[in-house]
Amino acid sequence: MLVLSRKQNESIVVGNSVRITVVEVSASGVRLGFEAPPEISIYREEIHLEIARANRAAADVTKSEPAALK
Amino acid sequence: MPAEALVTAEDTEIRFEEGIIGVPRARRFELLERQDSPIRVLRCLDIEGFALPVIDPRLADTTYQPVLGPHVQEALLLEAGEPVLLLAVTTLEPTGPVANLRAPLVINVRRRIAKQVILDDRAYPLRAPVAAR
Repeated sequence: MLVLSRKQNESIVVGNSVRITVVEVSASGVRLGFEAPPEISIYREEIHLEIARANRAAADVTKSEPAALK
Repeated sequence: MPAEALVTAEDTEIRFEEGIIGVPRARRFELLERQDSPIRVLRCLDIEGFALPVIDPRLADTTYQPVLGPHVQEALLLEAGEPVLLLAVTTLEPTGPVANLRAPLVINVRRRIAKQVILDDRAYPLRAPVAAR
Protein backbone atom coordinates (compact mmCIF):
# COMPACT_ATOMS: atom_id res chain seq x y z
CA MET A 1 0.00 0.00 0.00
CA LEU A 2 1.28 3.44 -0.89
CA VAL A 3 1.23 5.69 2.17
CA LEU A 4 1.43 9.48 1.79
CA SER A 5 1.30 12.22 4.42
CA ARG A 6 -1.10 15.10 3.80
CA LYS A 7 -2.20 18.11 5.84
CA GLN A 8 -5.59 19.78 5.90
CA ASN A 9 -6.58 21.21 2.49
CA GLU A 10 -3.91 19.22 0.70
CA SER A 11 -4.90 16.77 -2.01
CA ILE A 12 -3.91 13.59 -3.74
CA VAL A 13 -4.53 12.99 -7.43
CA VAL A 14 -5.31 9.48 -8.66
CA GLY A 15 -5.02 8.90 -12.39
CA ASN A 16 -6.05 11.85 -14.50
CA SER A 17 -9.50 12.37 -13.15
CA VAL A 18 -9.74 11.71 -9.42
CA ARG A 19 -8.79 14.14 -6.66
CA ILE A 20 -9.04 13.40 -2.96
CA THR A 21 -8.71 16.33 -0.54
CA VAL A 22 -8.22 16.26 3.22
CA VAL A 23 -11.02 18.59 4.31
CA GLU A 24 -10.70 18.32 8.06
CA VAL A 25 -8.59 16.50 10.60
CA SER A 26 -9.95 16.22 14.11
CA ALA A 27 -9.86 13.92 17.11
CA SER A 28 -12.98 12.13 15.89
CA GLY A 29 -11.66 11.35 12.44
CA VAL A 30 -10.58 12.62 9.05
CA ARG A 31 -13.02 14.16 6.56
CA LEU A 32 -12.16 13.62 2.93
CA GLY A 33 -13.54 15.26 -0.20
CA PHE A 34 -13.70 13.42 -3.51
CA GLU A 35 -13.80 14.83 -7.02
CA ALA A 36 -14.27 12.20 -9.69
CA PRO A 37 -16.20 11.58 -12.91
CA PRO A 38 -19.73 10.24 -12.33
CA GLU A 39 -18.94 6.77 -13.66
CA ILE A 40 -16.56 6.20 -10.76
CA SER A 41 -18.46 4.93 -7.74
CA ILE A 42 -17.30 6.11 -4.33
CA TYR A 43 -18.62 4.38 -1.21
CA ARG A 44 -17.63 3.70 2.34
CA GLU A 45 -16.10 0.26 2.47
CA GLU A 46 -18.71 -0.98 4.95
CA ILE A 47 -21.65 -0.62 2.55
CA HIS A 48 -19.74 -2.39 -0.19
CA LEU A 49 -18.80 -5.28 2.10
CA GLU A 50 -22.33 -5.54 3.42
CA ILE A 51 -23.81 -5.80 -0.08
CA ALA A 52 -21.18 -8.34 -1.11
CA ARG A 53 -22.03 -10.38 1.99
CA ALA A 54 -25.77 -10.14 1.24
CA ASN A 55 -25.18 -11.33 -2.34
CA ARG A 56 -23.17 -14.33 -1.17
CA ALA A 57 -25.68 -15.18 1.55
CA ALA A 58 -28.50 -15.07 -1.00
CA ALA A 59 -26.57 -17.37 -3.34
CA ASP A 60 -25.87 -19.84 -0.53
CA VAL A 61 -29.56 -20.37 0.06
CA THR A 62 -30.16 -21.49 -3.52
CA LYS A 63 -27.23 -23.87 -3.15
CA SER A 64 -28.03 -25.41 0.21
CA GLU A 65 -31.77 -25.07 0.68
CA PRO A 66 -33.56 -25.05 -2.65
CA ALA A 67 -36.71 -26.28 -0.94
CA ALA A 68 -36.78 -23.18 1.27
CA LEU A 69 -37.26 -20.98 -1.77
CA LYS A 70 -41.01 -21.08 -1.70
CA MET B 1 -32.62 -26.20 -7.26
CA PRO B 2 -34.23 -29.02 -9.24
CA ALA B 3 -34.38 -28.22 -12.93
CA GLU B 4 -37.98 -29.35 -13.26
CA ALA B 5 -39.09 -26.68 -10.78
CA LEU B 6 -37.86 -23.99 -13.13
CA VAL B 7 -39.45 -22.56 -16.19
CA THR B 8 -37.20 -20.42 -18.33
CA ALA B 9 -38.75 -17.00 -18.56
CA GLU B 10 -36.21 -15.62 -20.98
CA ASP B 11 -33.96 -17.83 -22.99
CA THR B 12 -31.29 -15.27 -23.66
CA GLU B 13 -28.58 -14.33 -21.23
CA ILE B 14 -28.36 -11.14 -19.21
CA ARG B 15 -24.89 -9.66 -18.94
CA PHE B 16 -23.53 -7.85 -15.88
CA GLU B 17 -20.37 -6.34 -17.34
CA GLU B 18 -18.85 -5.70 -13.89
CA GLY B 19 -20.24 -8.84 -12.31
CA ILE B 20 -22.18 -8.86 -9.08
CA ILE B 21 -20.84 -6.86 -6.12
CA GLY B 22 -18.46 -9.15 -4.23
CA VAL B 23 -18.57 -11.72 -7.03
CA PRO B 24 -16.98 -9.99 -10.05
CA ARG B 25 -16.63 -13.24 -11.99
CA ALA B 26 -20.41 -13.69 -12.06
CA ARG B 27 -21.25 -11.87 -15.27
CA ARG B 28 -23.65 -13.89 -17.38
CA PHE B 29 -27.01 -14.91 -15.96
CA GLU B 30 -30.34 -16.24 -17.00
CA LEU B 31 -33.60 -15.37 -15.26
CA LEU B 32 -35.68 -18.34 -14.28
CA GLU B 33 -39.33 -18.07 -13.38
CA ARG B 34 -40.70 -20.34 -10.69
CA GLN B 35 -44.22 -21.58 -10.55
CA ASP B 36 -46.31 -20.47 -7.59
CA SER B 37 -43.62 -18.20 -6.21
CA PRO B 38 -42.83 -14.50 -6.53
CA ILE B 39 -39.17 -15.38 -6.03
CA ARG B 40 -37.37 -15.82 -9.32
CA VAL B 41 -33.87 -17.16 -9.71
CA LEU B 42 -30.98 -15.49 -11.53
CA ARG B 43 -28.74 -18.38 -12.43
CA CYS B 44 -25.14 -17.63 -13.21
CA LEU B 45 -23.75 -19.10 -16.43
CA ASP B 46 -20.13 -18.43 -15.41
CA ILE B 47 -19.98 -20.08 -11.99
CA GLU B 48 -21.47 -23.52 -11.58
CA GLY B 49 -24.01 -23.58 -8.75
CA PHE B 50 -24.13 -19.81 -8.24
CA ALA B 51 -27.65 -18.44 -8.33
CA LEU B 52 -29.39 -15.48 -6.73
CA PRO B 53 -33.02 -15.49 -5.60
CA VAL B 54 -34.60 -12.21 -6.73
CA ILE B 55 -37.98 -10.52 -6.38
CA ASP B 56 -39.81 -7.52 -7.71
CA PRO B 57 -38.68 -4.89 -5.17
CA ARG B 58 -42.20 -3.49 -5.03
CA LEU B 59 -43.22 -6.56 -3.04
CA ALA B 60 -41.11 -5.13 -0.23
CA ASP B 61 -41.91 -1.45 -0.87
CA THR B 62 -44.92 -0.60 -3.00
CA THR B 63 -43.59 2.93 -3.61
CA TYR B 64 -40.12 1.77 -4.69
CA GLN B 65 -38.86 4.06 -7.40
CA PRO B 66 -35.15 4.72 -6.98
CA VAL B 67 -33.43 7.53 -8.82
CA LEU B 68 -30.83 6.17 -11.23
CA GLY B 69 -28.05 8.60 -12.02
CA PRO B 70 -26.95 9.53 -15.53
CA HIS B 71 -23.91 7.26 -15.24
CA VAL B 72 -26.24 4.27 -14.74
CA GLN B 73 -28.27 5.27 -17.80
CA GLU B 74 -25.02 5.55 -19.70
CA ALA B 75 -23.53 2.27 -18.48
CA LEU B 76 -26.70 0.43 -19.48
CA LEU B 77 -27.01 2.26 -22.82
CA LEU B 78 -30.51 3.39 -21.89
CA GLU B 79 -32.31 5.85 -24.07
CA ALA B 80 -34.21 8.72 -22.47
CA GLY B 81 -37.28 7.43 -20.68
CA GLU B 82 -36.55 3.79 -21.51
CA PRO B 83 -37.95 1.55 -18.77
CA VAL B 84 -35.74 -0.86 -16.85
CA LEU B 85 -36.44 -4.07 -14.99
CA LEU B 86 -35.56 -3.76 -11.31
CA LEU B 87 -34.88 -6.86 -9.24
CA ALA B 88 -33.91 -7.10 -5.59
CA VAL B 89 -31.57 -9.83 -4.33
CA THR B 90 -33.43 -11.77 -1.66
CA THR B 91 -32.14 -13.66 1.35
CA LEU B 92 -34.16 -15.98 3.51
CA GLU B 93 -34.10 -15.18 7.19
CA PRO B 94 -35.89 -17.08 9.94
CA THR B 95 -38.55 -14.35 9.94
CA GLY B 96 -39.10 -14.63 6.19
CA PRO B 97 -37.57 -13.33 2.98
CA VAL B 98 -35.81 -9.96 3.02
CA ALA B 99 -34.96 -7.97 -0.07
CA ASN B 100 -31.93 -5.76 -0.67
CA LEU B 101 -33.46 -2.47 -1.81
CA ARG B 102 -30.23 -0.52 -1.40
CA ALA B 103 -28.42 -2.29 -4.24
CA PRO B 104 -30.97 -3.31 -6.87
CA LEU B 105 -30.15 -5.16 -10.05
CA VAL B 106 -31.01 -2.79 -12.89
CA ILE B 107 -31.61 -4.45 -16.25
CA ASN B 108 -31.90 -2.96 -19.71
CA VAL B 109 -34.44 -5.46 -21.01
CA ARG B 110 -34.01 -4.53 -24.65
CA ARG B 111 -30.23 -4.94 -24.71
CA ARG B 112 -30.01 -7.51 -21.88
CA ILE B 113 -27.28 -5.68 -20.05
CA ALA B 114 -27.42 -5.09 -16.34
CA LYS B 115 -25.68 -3.61 -13.35
CA GLN B 116 -25.98 -3.89 -9.59
CA VAL B 117 -26.31 -0.29 -8.46
CA ILE B 118 -25.62 0.95 -4.94
CA LEU B 119 -28.14 3.74 -4.42
CA ASP B 120 -27.06 6.95 -2.78
CA ASP B 121 -30.47 7.12 -1.17
CA ARG B 122 -30.09 5.75 2.34
CA ALA B 123 -33.87 5.60 2.69
CA TYR B 124 -33.78 2.26 0.92
CA PRO B 125 -32.76 -0.50 3.34
CA LEU B 126 -30.37 -3.34 2.74
CA ARG B 127 -32.83 -5.71 4.37
CA ALA B 128 -36.50 -4.98 3.73
CA PRO B 129 -39.02 -7.62 4.76
CA VAL B 130 -41.06 -8.99 1.87
CA ALA B 131 -44.78 -8.84 2.53
CA ALA B 132 -46.34 -12.27 3.08
CA ARG B 133 -48.76 -13.18 0.39
